Amino acid sequence: MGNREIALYCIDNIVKQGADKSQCILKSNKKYELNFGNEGIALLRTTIDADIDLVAIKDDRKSTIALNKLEEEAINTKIKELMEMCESAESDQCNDIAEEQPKEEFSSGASEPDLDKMYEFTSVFLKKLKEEFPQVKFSDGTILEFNSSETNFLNSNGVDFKIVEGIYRVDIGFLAKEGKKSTSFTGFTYAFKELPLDFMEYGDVRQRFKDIVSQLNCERIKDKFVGDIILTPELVVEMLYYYNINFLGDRSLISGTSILKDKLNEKVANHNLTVKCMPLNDEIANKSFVTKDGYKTENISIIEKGILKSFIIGLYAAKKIGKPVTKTDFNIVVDNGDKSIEDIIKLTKKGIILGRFSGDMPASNGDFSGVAKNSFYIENGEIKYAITETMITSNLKDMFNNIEEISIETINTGDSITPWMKIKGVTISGN
Amino acid sequence: MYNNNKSVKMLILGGKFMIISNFSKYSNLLKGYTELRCQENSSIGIVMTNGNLIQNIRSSSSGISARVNVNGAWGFASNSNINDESIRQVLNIARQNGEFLNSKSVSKHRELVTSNYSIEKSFATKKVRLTQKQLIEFTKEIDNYIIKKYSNLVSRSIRINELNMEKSLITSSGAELYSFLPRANIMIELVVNDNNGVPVELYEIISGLGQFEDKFAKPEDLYEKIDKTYERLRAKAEGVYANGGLKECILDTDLAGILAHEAVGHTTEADLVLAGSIASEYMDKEVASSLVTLVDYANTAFGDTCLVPIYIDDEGTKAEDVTIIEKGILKGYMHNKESANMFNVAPTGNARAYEFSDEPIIRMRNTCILPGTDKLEDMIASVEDGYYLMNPGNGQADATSEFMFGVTMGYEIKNGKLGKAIKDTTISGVAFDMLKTVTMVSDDLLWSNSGMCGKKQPITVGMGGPAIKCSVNIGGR
Repeated sequence: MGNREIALYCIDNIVKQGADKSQCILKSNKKYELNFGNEGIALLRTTIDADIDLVAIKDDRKSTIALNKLEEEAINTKIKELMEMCESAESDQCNDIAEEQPKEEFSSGASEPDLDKMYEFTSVFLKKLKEEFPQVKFSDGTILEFNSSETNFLNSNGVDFKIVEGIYRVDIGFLAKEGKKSTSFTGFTYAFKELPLDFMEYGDVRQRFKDIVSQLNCERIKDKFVGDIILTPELVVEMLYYYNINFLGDRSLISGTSILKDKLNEKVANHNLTVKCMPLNDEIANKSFVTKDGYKTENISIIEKGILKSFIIGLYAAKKIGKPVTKTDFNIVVDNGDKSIEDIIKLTKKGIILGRFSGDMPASNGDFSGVAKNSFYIENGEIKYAITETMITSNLKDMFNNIEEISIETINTGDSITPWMKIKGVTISGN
Repeated sequence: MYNNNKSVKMLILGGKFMIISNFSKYSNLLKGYTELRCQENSSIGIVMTNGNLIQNIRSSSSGISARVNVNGAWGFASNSNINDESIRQVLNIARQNGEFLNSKSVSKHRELVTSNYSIEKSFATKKVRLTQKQLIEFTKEIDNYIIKKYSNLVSRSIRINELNMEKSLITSSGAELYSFLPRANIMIELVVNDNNGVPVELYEIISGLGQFEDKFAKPEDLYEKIDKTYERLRAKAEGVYANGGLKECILDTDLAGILAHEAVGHTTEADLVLAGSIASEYMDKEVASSLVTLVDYANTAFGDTCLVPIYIDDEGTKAEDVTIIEKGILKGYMHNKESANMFNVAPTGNARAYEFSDEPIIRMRNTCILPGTDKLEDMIASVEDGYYLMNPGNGQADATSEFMFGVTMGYEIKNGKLGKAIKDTTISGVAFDMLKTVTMVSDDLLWSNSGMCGKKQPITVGMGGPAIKCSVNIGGR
């Protein structure tokens, strides 16, 4: 049987076992991964896997089971277990699956990698890095991978989607070491449909290595003050991720802890802020075509000129709180501003460029504090020095209300497109 | 471990002898340095939030993997199919991958220590397994207790998790392992509004080695813990923001455990030492007060089985304890075979893989600061103006030994007495500086294994500690 036939077999059999509704996501996946370290390319991995996620709903009771076997006997055993779990679940009218939509196939990227090209790409990058930034050392998990997958998403309402994807991804963890001095770890990830010719020239890659080398000479900020922080594009995504978890997502809305739960179509952030989820954007390499509930995705606005336009919720949460389901994925695109990052720094009297945040998840009310890592101190419009042992304290909601500037430049990581963002009124504590 | 293939079903269900005999038939395929592993991770997840069952899930993921070393170049392959053909296939692809890298450049060939140590260890329950229905009933009983007793909650959530890792390993040098390593935990999260209507939360995780039936007999056993959590949450809702800066603090056992793991453990994993962690400069040097001894235990500590007991690692090395800091002096790093060769020491058995499709990398097992001789009440009484920090949130460490942990529960200490509770905050510092400020260490020790350590892969780890008195940076507002 092909994958679609197996998925069809699953949804039919779940219904035959007594379910009112059923869903099957079958994803077969092959990954090639080059691991590289300080001695060069160290390991080549090939992994072959097939994952099946099954859902049954009976009398509004729901169960989910996951396996990675395609044999009929294994599937039958798991369907039996799935139905037993379903019978024992709580009845909840909000349990549901996506409605019927037109059958559709989606595809993105190549189906097979060019291993020689992957090796060449990595070798050239490593050679350049060694020549230009000999102080840079790799930490764990530094890889170039190619992931190819075929996903069949079927449910008993008639949803029938097929997604074929192939994507390259670079994940780099690194630090700088010179003599007895070591910097903090940092890292970045880029996703591509096709490998770029020269990775060192891609996005902010060279700047990231320049930055880490200058962080070999860190200083402490001596005082505690309320100043500005400039979020790097990566930090903008991270803070919006927390914002989503705390205020816009399933859990905070179902539990009622979101402080924005009643703020739809109201001003929640600075008027310069426009945040979109754009899983189908042409410039996004790592596209997302179907939501986890089985809806064809759409590009949507979350915050438009500071006004909250949409939560980011799945089908269950949508029914629970009486709002429409959000048919999108977390591929964040933030509208850029009109000043260069260089000018934004020049206009900063006292503050820091926040390169990495090491902190716990913000509290329900949005309060957070943590250590500013891989960061630089700015005074009177100039970057003065890299900093160490510096804490920042703020509140997520306040932060996005206190935006002063958004840069004209953006970074496209393949997953998201975001600018630099300057925030005022953050407590910065030196040691 | 479930499998649908007849020959492999024998291999898995037949117990030790079948595993060894079935794997042995592939021994002629294990050319040069080779590891062959068969593994299943299975899990149960139940989440009830405000009485709604929002997660009712079981999952399993199993397969075969092989890792081969070809003149210093590593090749790895895995397949979720477990049968004769896929075993041959992963061995071939792993070798081809190693040969591909070897053909492109000359890797440094290292003699890897080999062993033929064998062991079987299962911590599977011998009790009748609870059905999902019984687990949901268990969850509902806890929920009913909470809602009946505490009506002013904004939200309540109960999570049950169980993770079972079952694996068989054979290496070309004859090392063999069968292990079944389970972990079960229950998380209770309560949320109330403070006087300004702002939500304040606190969670507690009860966790341990073993399957659910062996860890949790009845819901009533948790009620005392829930009452204590609520009491602390009320105090926290009326709490104050910490006054930020360098403060004298008592870090309670959970926080000392996460300190041992994050702030010292990671910097002394040999792969991170080779990557340039600051610990590379400190071997045999003073990095902590002489009151501090820190050990990564393999499987047994103080006569008891650890929460994450590792007897043979995923390279086939017999797992040994690693004394990282002895009376304040840095004494050891954690190794796999390759790093041990580079440092000219014996491998320590720290190479662990999470899923069948993961390669082994250097991970901690059970890391703790050893208990001292002080009493907690004396430690608190000795602080004039500081904090007693109890519950950790997430933690992160750095190559510089700079660390950060969230603190979700704590109290002020004023003139030797506990004062007001504090709101969520963060502590940070440079571990190898901060540990030199330790002046008291309590005589008790608590272990936990509730979180997952993230490196390239997640993994279960144990961490423990006594309470310690030290100076640390605390985040304020």
